[in-house]
Amino acid sequence: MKNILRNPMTNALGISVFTAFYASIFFVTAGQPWFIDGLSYRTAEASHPFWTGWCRFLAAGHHRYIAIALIIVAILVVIMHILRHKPYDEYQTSILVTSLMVSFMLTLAAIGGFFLLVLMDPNGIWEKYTLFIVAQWTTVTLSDLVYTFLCRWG
Amino acid sequence: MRNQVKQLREGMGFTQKDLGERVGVSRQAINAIETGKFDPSIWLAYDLARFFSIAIEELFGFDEEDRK
Repeated sequence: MKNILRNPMTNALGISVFTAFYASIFFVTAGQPWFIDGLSYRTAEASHPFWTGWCRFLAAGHHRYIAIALIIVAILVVIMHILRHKPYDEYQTSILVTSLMVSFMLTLAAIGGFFLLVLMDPNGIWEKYTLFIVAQWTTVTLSDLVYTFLCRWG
Repeated sequence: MRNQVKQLREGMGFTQKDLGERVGVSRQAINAIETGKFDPSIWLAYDLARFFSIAIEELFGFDEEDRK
């Protein structure tokens, strides 16, 4: 397993697949009437100002810009991996393994938080799911950017 | 794990980057070993010991409390 992770292309492939999966969700849903109809908080301004604002952001299809920004970051990460001509050493690999384990634990915690939010208020499952995606996608992509940057120039 | 890497490296006038290049790892790896944040694999320990021309147990302190 560590030998696979030592290859920078494994990281590049991983972040590419991860980004492609979430980006496809955002691009498919942005501006689609069936998605907008599924949003729940459009008329609940006083009681849920955060969710109402997020709902309007999604209804306007602006989440496609989040996808574009994170695709640009992912492309930058992949380019840095492609330009790296040597594998990670054992210390860098150990950092990557630790990061993946922390990321996995945080994802489990985020899934738990997502379910808790839905159980507390079943309305707005699209809003909550897209927020979960934004949180996880941004965290993973930016963490990978920092990791790649530090391994290259740290 | 305590070790003599920093003292020996500085005694030979090498930077962390120089030493890393000699044994095939990054500057960060050498820094992490010197500060005790990272225990190297047996092969990296062997490469370091061979580079300094001393035995592994002279380079690294095998204290019982460090046993995992």
